[in-house]
Amino acid sequence: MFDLDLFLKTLGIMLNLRGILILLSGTVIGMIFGAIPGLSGVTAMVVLIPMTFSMDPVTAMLLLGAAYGAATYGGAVPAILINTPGEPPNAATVLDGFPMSQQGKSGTALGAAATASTLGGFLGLIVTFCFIPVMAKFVMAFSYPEFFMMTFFGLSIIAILGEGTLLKGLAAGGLGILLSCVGYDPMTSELRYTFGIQYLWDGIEVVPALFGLLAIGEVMDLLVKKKPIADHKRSKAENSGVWSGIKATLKQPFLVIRCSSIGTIIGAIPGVGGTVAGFISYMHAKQTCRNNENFGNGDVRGVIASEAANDAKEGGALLPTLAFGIPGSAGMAVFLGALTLHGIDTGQDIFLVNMDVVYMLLISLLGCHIVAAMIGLSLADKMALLTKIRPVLFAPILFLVCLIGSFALRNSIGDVMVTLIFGLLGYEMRKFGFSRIALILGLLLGNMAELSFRQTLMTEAGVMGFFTRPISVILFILILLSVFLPFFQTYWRRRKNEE
Amino acid sequence: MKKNFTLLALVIFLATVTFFSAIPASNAEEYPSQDIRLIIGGKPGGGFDTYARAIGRYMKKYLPEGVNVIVENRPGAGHRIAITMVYNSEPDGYTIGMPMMPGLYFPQVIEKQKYDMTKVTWLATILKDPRVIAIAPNSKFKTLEDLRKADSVRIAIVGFSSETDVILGNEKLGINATYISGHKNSKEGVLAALRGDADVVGFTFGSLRKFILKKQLIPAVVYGSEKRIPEIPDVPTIGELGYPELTPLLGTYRVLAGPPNMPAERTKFLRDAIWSTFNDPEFIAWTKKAKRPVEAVNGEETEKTLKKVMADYEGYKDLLKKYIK
Amino acid sequence: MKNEEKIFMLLLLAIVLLMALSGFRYSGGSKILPLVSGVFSALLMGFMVLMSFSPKVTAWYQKFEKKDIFSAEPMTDQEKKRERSVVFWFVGCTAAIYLFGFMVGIPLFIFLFLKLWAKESWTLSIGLALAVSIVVYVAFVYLLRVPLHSGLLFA
Repeated sequence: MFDLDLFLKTLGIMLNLRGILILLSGTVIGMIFGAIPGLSGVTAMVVLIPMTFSMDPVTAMLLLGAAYGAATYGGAVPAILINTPGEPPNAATVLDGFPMSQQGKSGTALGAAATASTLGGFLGLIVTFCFIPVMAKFVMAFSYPEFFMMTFFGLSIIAILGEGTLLKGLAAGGLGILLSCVGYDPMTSELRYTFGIQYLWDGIEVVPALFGLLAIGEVMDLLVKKKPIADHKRSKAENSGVWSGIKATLKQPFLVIRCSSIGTIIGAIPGVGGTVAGFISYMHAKQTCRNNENFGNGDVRGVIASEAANDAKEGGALLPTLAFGIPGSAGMAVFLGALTLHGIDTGQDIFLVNMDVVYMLLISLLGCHIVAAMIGLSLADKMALLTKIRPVLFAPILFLVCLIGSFALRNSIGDVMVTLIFGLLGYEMRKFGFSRIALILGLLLGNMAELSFRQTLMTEAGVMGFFTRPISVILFILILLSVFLPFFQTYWRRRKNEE
Repeated sequence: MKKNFTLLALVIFLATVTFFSAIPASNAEEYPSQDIRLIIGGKPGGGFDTYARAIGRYMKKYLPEGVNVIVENRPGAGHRIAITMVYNSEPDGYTIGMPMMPGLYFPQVIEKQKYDMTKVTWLATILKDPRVIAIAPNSKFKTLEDLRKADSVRIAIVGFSSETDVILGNEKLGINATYISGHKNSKEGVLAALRGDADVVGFTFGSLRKFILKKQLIPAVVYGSEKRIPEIPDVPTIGELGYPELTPLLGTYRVLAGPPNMPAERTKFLRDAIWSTFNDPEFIAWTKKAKRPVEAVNGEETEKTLKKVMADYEGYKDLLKKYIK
Repeated sequence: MKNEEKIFMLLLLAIVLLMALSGFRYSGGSKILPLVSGVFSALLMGFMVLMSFSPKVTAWYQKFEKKDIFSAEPMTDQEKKRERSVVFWFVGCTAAIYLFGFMVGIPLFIFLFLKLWAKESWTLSIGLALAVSIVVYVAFVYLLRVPLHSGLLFA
């Protein structure tokens, strides 16, 4: 099954000067695209595809894989430094990453993110490799009830986030879900809440809303308070370098393994979307780690959980891609498209005829993480300085970056308007303690959950489908546990104290 | 002194701003002298995207030095955002699109749109991809007769507006379909069928080829092809079953088009360049290796064919109204 | 502060209620989520509005929450003034971009904002405006060929 000769030969292609240069340039480009809010790994690949026409398919994979893998890595940087995920999957990283920056510990956060990303990426690919024999069965086991449970799982995180009071969190989440209904009804194509505006037909795009809520909300606060992000009064300075971040991650091997596994599994299920991976992993970490009161306030384990998962998910996305030629993520879709453009048939024949391409994809995804880690770690301390800049210089530029980034997404000026509106909303929400992440979760997952719920109703089993399928039941129990466990824990603790 | 400095600074500043907002002069010289934008409604990596990029790549040979074809992905509203952009662009030959037909025509039957497909400038047909009604192996239905006799057949679709032609074909053949929609793309629909959540899918042959040839899906009938598909010679067409008038109406036309009122010489230039690309040996080699067939039809023929298709669809207004909101 | 918070909550309540009620318009399955989430949010927001007007209810509910329900930090007058002006500037910047395009709006905003709001020096204001504009131009227009919106006036 595993052709060692071919694998080594492919590895050799990467290990010469040309290969290393390509790996390097791909990684750097990917990191930059990932780090600029509004650009993503997919954008990086799309830009690079024409440049690959002069290369052979294997080398093309090296370049594209490096760029894509590095981008999910780069996305953590703005999430930590400016509360703005570079790509939606990095959203959960802001929960603890940004508070860490505010405490002057951005170096630690960046170091932890770098390490967790690399380890997560590795583990994701390894886990996927182990699953290859049962690929098809695994992918087939997930149907509408399971999709619903996964998205519902993501939504239930709203209840345990801990940002602000539960009441406000739920209200924000509810608003987010309402907003997710804007646009085409996914099943009937009926238009909801569009008021005749064609721009709204596809709904409120998450990325511009995210920029507005998270980044612009912060930017406005910076200007109003006239204090830089790393507010020195709040910073507990020592142990704030990159090395402490690396050490912190390495000291949590089991957390990394668990979170990577979560990420891989979520990535492997087509139809769910990788953004939940970070959140579910975060929730898991919060539930299972000891001394978890600090989650949401700068606990480095929150960063580790989110980053490990969102890099592992790409490994997982390979599963349906290789098993059926059905891309497990947007990035995988572009890979398949690029392969097709290079004349490679992407059905199951790829395993027989072009296995070297597959090997190169794996190698470049792994390799870029190593390179990105080296680059990222060495730059992390310098990047941390950003948080000390005077807000007046920093804020207007960041504001513009968000507007430009929103525009670059779909070349739509409407997205820029959305960013502004959500920016104002985000600022007010921040002032009054409404969880913005809750709104984002609702916006992201609301109508996805609705779709799979209604699809389940259309199956032969109907509503019972949720309760008769094993995976669905397991997920449901997990949801109940996750949401109610903290309440039970406080209750038991109180009873123990009373005794 | 300060006042003069202020004035100077302001002047420099305004000059810079004006520089940046200057629109590049175009159209004056030989056409084409700048890049041509090919705006598609599909996402990167998808079917439209792949064809667009491949054509863009090989078409470069037939354009002057330095002129490229830049593919822009503008997904949204079922390809309407992309076509609206092309339709409303300057008809200077620098913006073209790959509209999905007849899908983009349906909405305008119901309601006036920001574009009018009857007015676009047709450049070429890349391929007419017929639909194949394919049955999942685990379904209790095995043949077309089973489907026609059944009380309810579950069909996985992406959306009503994108698969209206399939719905039309099913109605004519008397297949009582329950449509499960909301799948993100054809691949997820196929996955649903393979899982057993649906009995049948009705996607294009291009999307289903892999699965059919590997016996993961069983083809039952072909919509939209006059002759039987060579790779599945035992599968009848809807024409053979008594409805030949439907054949041009069903299936997906992958076409290249430009905005209305394009100047004749530029239209001719584009049509010729595209035609040369289709006959380019490297391009043809690619279509074979990548299994992305091209059955080209030139611009004038395309115009005639599609105009008739659009006219014929007016007769099915009721059906369209039922399914398209 | 309390008044501002009340206004904000009322606004949210109004939006949520409107959306919930509009939900009835939609047919069949499309109704479900708008109604469910709309009613749910409306109830929550309604309760919060109630609490913001009634300290008694707030005190009762506070028992269930670990954090303070109304936790907004009070703002100084200077901060409030800055808040209003920042909103004005941001909205204005977006409007400028919408009307004149990115390549005009960007330098204009940076220059004016730094000079007038932040009262920075000429050199810094102009320098940063130019620097950012050049970077954006090179990165987005030249390298990535993103057709940056050129404004209603110039399109």
